[in-house]
Amino acid sequence: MKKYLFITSLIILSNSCDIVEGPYITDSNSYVNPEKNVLIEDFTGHLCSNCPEAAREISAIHDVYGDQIIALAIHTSTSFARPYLASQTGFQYDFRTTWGEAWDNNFGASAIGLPRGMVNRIGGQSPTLSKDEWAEVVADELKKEIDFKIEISSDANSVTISVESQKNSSGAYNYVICLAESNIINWQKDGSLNVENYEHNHVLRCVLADDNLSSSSTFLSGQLIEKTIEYNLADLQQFNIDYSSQTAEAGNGNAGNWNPENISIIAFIYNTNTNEILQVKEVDLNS
Amino acid sequence: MKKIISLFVSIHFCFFAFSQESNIGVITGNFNLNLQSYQEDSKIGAEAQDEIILNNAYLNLNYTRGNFASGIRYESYLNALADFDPEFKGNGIMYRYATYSIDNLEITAGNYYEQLGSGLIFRSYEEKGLGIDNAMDGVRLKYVPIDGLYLKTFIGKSRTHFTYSDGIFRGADAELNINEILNSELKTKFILGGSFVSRYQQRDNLIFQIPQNVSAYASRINLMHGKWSNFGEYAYKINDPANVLSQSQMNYANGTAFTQNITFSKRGFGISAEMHRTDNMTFKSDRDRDGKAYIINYIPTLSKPHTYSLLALYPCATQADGELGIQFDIFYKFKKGSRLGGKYGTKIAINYSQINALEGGPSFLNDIRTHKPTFINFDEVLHYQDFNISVAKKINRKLNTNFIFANQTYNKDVLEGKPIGDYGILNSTILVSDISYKIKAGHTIRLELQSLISSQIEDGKQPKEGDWSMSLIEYTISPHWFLSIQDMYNYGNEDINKQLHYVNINAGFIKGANRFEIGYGKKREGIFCVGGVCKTVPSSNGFSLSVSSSF
Repeated sequence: MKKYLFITSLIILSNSCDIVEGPYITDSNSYVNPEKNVLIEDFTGHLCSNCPEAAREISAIHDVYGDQIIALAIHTSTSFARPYLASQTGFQYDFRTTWGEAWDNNFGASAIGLPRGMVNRIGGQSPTLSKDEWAEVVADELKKEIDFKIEISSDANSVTISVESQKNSSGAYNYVICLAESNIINWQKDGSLNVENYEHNHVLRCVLADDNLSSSSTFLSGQLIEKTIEYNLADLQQFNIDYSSQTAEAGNGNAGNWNPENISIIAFIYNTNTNEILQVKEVDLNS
Repeated sequence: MKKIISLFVSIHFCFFAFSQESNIGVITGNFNLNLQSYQEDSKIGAEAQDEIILNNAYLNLNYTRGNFASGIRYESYLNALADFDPEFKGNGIMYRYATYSIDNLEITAGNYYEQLGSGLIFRSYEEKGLGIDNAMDGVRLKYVPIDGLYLKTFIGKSRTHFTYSDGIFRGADAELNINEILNSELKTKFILGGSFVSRYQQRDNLIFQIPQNVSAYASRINLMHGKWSNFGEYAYKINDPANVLSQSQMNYANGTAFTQNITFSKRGFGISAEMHRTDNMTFKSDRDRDGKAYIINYIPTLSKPHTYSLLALYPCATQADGELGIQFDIFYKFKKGSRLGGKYGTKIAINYSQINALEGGPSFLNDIRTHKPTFINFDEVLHYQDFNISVAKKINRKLNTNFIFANQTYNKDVLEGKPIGDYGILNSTILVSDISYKIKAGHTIRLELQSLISSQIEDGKQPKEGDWSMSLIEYTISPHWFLSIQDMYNYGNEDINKQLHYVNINAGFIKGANRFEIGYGKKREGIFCVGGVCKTVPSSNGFSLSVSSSF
């Protein structure tokens, strides 16, 4: 009897397993890859009265996905971002940068009309989208797997990014490191209003690097690439002041007063053939 | 829990009292204490500990009477030694059991250790040196219905530090000894075995399917014919994905492992060939946790376990997630009186092992990626290679020698889980000479000289440790005293500031069942392995005291 009981218990045991068949994903619409981040580059200007709506859209997307959404406000073009003359009221600050103007020229944002933005630069040669198109592309992008993982560290003089390849791949990639500042209180047109105390967030201040990620086009899973860039905040600020006063159309040199406490580092990697941003990361400066 | 412990303690005291007075049953036990002080030593990267002294200790007490046995183990980590998982913290009776057998049935309740086959799908064991103790807590039955048929089944949870993991394990094993069953006198002996284990862990995931019951099977065969012996085991584990939200980490592929070993041995000569392959075969007691405390299976190592310090400087850690390896061993003893054997004979042992990654990596299956490596195909990524020859020769009644030559290749990034490209792959050539001389009755002096010459096969970003030398002198006055001084010198370190001596002095006293050892010295940060299972050892500088005793 004992023998049979024993053998019966063995048979019962051998049935206790759950073999799962694909599709393994039960709710693909809700799926978000928690490691994937998305960069929304918002071409904007303080004279653009519709632009705050785009900023509010970014804020709404951020409310849904949290810090997986990283934003960069790129003030650009003479029409939308020039400072007013000193004799006029308000709008005296010049948020423009040489890099923002170059990206605008390259991707053709202000030529179509602002606000205009890019979500991970998806869309090949014409990646700019109207704000109402952003959320859908964000949801698609967040489902993607990451090819590279980015970690950022910095001190008062240098920024280091370490990029870990997540799989064996080949391609031509650039890395970009830029600085953005938030909580800047200044003038902004918002609909029919001229808002004096508008809070400007994640404003592009400068690009520290935009260069080849590797001299090789082959990347191995687990491979680690480190890049260190030296910087001097005072020099960078002076560079923007000089750019505003000497180069930018209708500039006034009023591009200083940076607050290091509100500056963050944004680093991303993009495919130089398709422009697609594969991964992006943001940390506070001096973290 | 406290009630159970106090019940066990009182039972043992009762039995102890009986054993003293009525001589019913026997009590045995053993005790071990390891204490170490930690001083800061910035040169070697050793950190001082807040507690100054850390301590591990345990006491085993076992009572047996006829077919009944019971026991407890008291453990104390105040706080655990720096090379232990800090989760081992505090005191407690973490092992208690009672077992009896009657009419071929053995019943165990409480804690027990168990292994199915060679452990490919399940091994609950303790290895103090590694800080591993995944004892089971539950019940186990073993039954021998007829001669030659051995059945066992168990249910329980596995220990993790001072608690038990979330997963519930149900297991069974049947072993059939054909010769015993048939009462056969055949020269060829067959032993067949089959085992099964299933883990239940309730988990929900918003996005992905999670199997609640994950099972694994294994079958094994042991064939012996004269001087030949063959052991083979094949194991299979069903889908066992992690429970995360990132699709890239959700792997639904099955796990497989096999091990195959053929040996021939006769007096003075032995040869063995071994092969194993693992693919996606990490089996954990809690799918949400990482770390060796949660590993519930064991893949036997495929490289020679070395004991000499520089031979074991870069040991091979078995990669349960995926590796393919082979190993050959030859042992020969030149007879006494032969030209190479001399007066006392000469022993020579040759060993070769090579372990590579699976072609393209381990199996992977989910909605976006499928990969299945070819069954037998060595990937170009080498994990480990070791070729070594040892010659042991007794010169005369006083002089004994052992010489070893080895060449090892070590993929530090893969075997130590570092980012690829950090340390690259290094090759080392190692020479060991071990000479002991008996000065007079009971007095022996032993001298060990080792050298490791290192070169990089694939460069890494981190500074290289480079070449090492090691010397040891040991004086033993048997049976009571021993003293040893050892110096490991990293003279070839790429970083000049790290070209350091790691000196250790140890002295011990043994009397009867008690053994005391004190030591002082510096330890290098490194990897320590037992049977292919490894732990990281931090660098340290300080005194140590070890006491062990048994009755």
